[in-house]
Amino acid sequence: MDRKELLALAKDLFSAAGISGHEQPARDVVRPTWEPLVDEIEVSRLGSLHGLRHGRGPAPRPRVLLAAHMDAVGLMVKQVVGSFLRVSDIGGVDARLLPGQPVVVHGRRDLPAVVAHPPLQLLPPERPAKSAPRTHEMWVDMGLSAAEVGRWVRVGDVISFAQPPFELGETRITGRGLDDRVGILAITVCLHELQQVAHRWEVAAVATVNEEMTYGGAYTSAFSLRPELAVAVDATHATGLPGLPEFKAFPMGVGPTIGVGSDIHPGLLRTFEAAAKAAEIPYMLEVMPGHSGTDARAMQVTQDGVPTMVVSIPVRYMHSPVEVVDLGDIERTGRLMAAVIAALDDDYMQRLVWE
Amino acid sequence: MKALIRKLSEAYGPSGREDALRQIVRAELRGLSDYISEDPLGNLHAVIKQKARSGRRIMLAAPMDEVGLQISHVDENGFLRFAPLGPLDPLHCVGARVRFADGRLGVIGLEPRGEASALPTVRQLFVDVGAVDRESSTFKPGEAAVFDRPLAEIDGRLVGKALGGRTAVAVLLETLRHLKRTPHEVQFVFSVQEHVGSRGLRTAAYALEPEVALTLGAAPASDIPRGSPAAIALGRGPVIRAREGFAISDPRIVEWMAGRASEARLPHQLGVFDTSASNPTAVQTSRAGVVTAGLGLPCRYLYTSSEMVDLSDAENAVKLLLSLLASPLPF
Amino acid sequence: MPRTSTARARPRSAPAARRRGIRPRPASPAVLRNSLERLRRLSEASGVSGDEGAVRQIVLEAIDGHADEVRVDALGNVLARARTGSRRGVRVMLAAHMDEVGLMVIGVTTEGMLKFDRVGGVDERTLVAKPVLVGHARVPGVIGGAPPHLIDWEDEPSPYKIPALAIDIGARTKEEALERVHPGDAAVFATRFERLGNVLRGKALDDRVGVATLIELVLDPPPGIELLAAFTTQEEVGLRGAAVAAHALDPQAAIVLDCTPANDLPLWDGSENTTYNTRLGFGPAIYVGDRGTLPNPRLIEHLARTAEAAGLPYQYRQPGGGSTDAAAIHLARKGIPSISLSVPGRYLHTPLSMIFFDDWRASVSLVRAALARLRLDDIR
Repeated sequence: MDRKELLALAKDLFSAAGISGHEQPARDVVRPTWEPLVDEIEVSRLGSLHGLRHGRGPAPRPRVLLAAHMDAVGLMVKQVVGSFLRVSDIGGVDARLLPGQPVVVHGRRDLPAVVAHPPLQLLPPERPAKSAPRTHEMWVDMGLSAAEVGRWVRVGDVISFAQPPFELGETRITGRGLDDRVGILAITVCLHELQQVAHRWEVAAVATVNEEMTYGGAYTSAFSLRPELAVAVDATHATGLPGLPEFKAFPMGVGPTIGVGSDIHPGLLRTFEAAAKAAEIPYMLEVMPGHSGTDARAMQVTQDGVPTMVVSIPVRYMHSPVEVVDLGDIERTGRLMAAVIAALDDDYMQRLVWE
Repeated sequence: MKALIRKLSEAYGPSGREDALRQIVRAELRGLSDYISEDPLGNLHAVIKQKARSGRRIMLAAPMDEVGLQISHVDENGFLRFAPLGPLDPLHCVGARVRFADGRLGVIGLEPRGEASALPTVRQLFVDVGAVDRESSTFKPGEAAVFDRPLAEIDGRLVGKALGGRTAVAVLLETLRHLKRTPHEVQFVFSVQEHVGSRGLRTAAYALEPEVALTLGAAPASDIPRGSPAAIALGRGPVIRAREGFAISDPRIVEWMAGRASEARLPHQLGVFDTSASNPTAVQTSRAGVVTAGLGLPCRYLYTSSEMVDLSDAENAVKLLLSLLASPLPF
Repeated sequence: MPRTSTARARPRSAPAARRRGIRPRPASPAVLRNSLERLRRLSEASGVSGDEGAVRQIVLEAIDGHADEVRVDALGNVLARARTGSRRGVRVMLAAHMDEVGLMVIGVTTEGMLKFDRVGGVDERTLVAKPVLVGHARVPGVIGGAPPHLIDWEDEPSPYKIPALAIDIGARTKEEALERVHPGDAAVFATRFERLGNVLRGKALDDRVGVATLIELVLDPPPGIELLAAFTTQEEVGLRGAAVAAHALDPQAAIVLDCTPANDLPLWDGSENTTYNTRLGFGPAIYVGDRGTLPNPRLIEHLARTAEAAGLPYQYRQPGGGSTDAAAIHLARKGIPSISLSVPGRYLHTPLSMIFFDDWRASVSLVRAALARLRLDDIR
């Protein structure tokens, strides 16, 4: 998969809506992309996409699950008040970035709108003047009449950021939903690489739903696919903005991060590090004490337990419409996963020990 | 339905101790389903087996438990200190009467406070059971109490403790009673420990393996002075929930319910609830996934000793459920 | 009517066992000595959530040859079946968690200091001015704070927060530090275990005391039940090992052996402390409800009645906050009736916790007696 193809697919993915619980628009982009790269494709009951590559040799073949979430954060219509909407946030959005933000209301039609933070005199008098805007104070304005709003919009409809993606500099791209569509892209790169590899293990590529709210896609897909190993490919924080806590953000353009912590099986960590070194793929260690905040957290405790790994791609300004990623990092992540999968053999699980 | 609701509302059933409710529900269920069972946590399942190939396994669930309190300490003068069971609001405890499992009563009192305008905290509350000292007290840590209130009627509306949840139970029982034709396997679940995070629902879903689930319960109505203009209101029909806490209802179910309600000209409302003591994700993320949505009964003064519901909302909820169950799912 | 421990200012000392009850067989001096020595090793071992290897080794060595179907699962839990005659008794899972709260190195500064974060709920107030041991090699280090001479006390200093702290292992540069430790290494407090009469002091008594108890039960299981032992991992970061252990073992009931806070310090004004959670010296604590589990009242009754019949002291843990592995276990599969029985401990989640030897031994006797007379009627 060359840079041009990656860029085109990235723009498609970052243009699709797909808020947690309403991921169809994203699935409609991922499905045709994965279909030619896998042997079977299906949609889970909750809407996750499962693409299965069979692997070589006789059944039963061990299975590795690669998960990236297709849901993105956004807003939901909480109340319709005349021609304006009250909203609540889905997945964790900093209210301070909402005022003046162009959005799309996904009602019976997609309606462009803007988020407005009212002037102080239209807010409760007891509210301190200096305090930051809060989500429940916002109005979403489509410029339509109350009758039209009543016709097209309902309580429960979701709202996404309207920001279209565009390139930044030579190697970077910005837009919304990079968390975690960059993971979907990395899995896609991996699937492309695997076309050239005679891999023994089955690969289940999963675009999960609902990671931002419940990890529901990860729990239920791991339950039904019963993998031997599971890898969560997610976005992590990138350095750049001054004042971020030390060691919690990573530089862009120097490869993925590989996780260490209680959500990660140490044996898998050794495997990923060895594969990265052998394939000369640069990476950084990301320490996640206690929890990773990714689909791995759900997959690890499904049924009798699954050894899990977290591989992450640095993204700036996460959970905003202007997230930024380095395309090279996506490619490196995809290649790393392909390198690991290529080396998995029938005895791997026997060798995967704790000490 | 009113007599049934009275019996249910006045019964004693704090989270984890739903025996009395189980007895009432069992008695009501007699002869109504293909099998009834009680699971290890105390949920009651009543199942109508699947008839047609076009049918699915649909779970309908309502909570048997209610908010309450658990004794944490008997002090030297016989006053009882307590911890909340479920979303018990200290503000609504002051001066309330409570009842323990064996019927003994108490009154919740409040310590004198320095800052009278501050909200009372649980630490400042105690239950007065008329004891004079610790030695003669027969109460123990762990014993649970609930509000003590008989059901009342105000101008066609019902007022009582635990009314929202128990009306949902009554809605399920009425639905089961009137269910004549359905292609589906319908799993009626009367769940335990709903108010502490839908614990009963989690294990019931694992056991019954539904494909679709509708979780019923009380939905906070705020059609009161200075409530929002677009609030959930009593008498405007059951609430189709697009969101309950972290659980985003499946849009196909929301569409199905809203569409059917409109076709059948049944009053209904749509609601988004950012927080909830219940946790429908317990069902939604069970096994390989369950397509889930919530149906709420509008209820004013939720979790106080005087919850208020409109009987018409309950009746319309029954009609809606019967209408939904009558034909195959549109997806 | 039997009195509860909260009804007295002093605990009832354990009388000779009553005739009509069961007689708890006291452990022999040799067993006690071994158990105490094992508790010392367990307490001092490094086993932060996700990195329980050193504790796992002690457990595996101890039960080697004494249990069947011993295995280590994907989360690092040790699962085993005790060798009892009975396969027809109730299948009971006993759980104790091997992990402790601690710290994890997240990076190394240019000056060779280790920045860290918490794993689990370490009490942030107790970090400064403590010695620690980093990584599997247990490299000694200290967490230091500013000297009082250089602090402006007029400008009331705020509590120490983790981002302001670092572990000093004596390295002069970043490179020198990285020769001995790595990001991802866990760090524990360097506390040594000690017995002073009835007082046992050490770190990680939550829940190494539970692990020690469970090992004893596996080595000498009570008759009449099928005992499935789960030495769980990652309890402190979300009850994660217990969730998969319960799914794998699918027992009919579960008892969790943990260590719970005893906040039995005096109130600042001398008035009655009504929120002590549990108290040292009042025996093992039976849970009536915490934030994660509401045990079946019949199970609570069973434990209390057993204690009374056996002449053992016991107390009720106050309901309210906190959680144990039971919260994950009881919601596994179709539901598993579960209850926790804990040893009270002061200063848990700090470098130096404290339990009473007598409370511990009474907990061993109580769980043994409760298992021996457990029937299905007690559970549902």
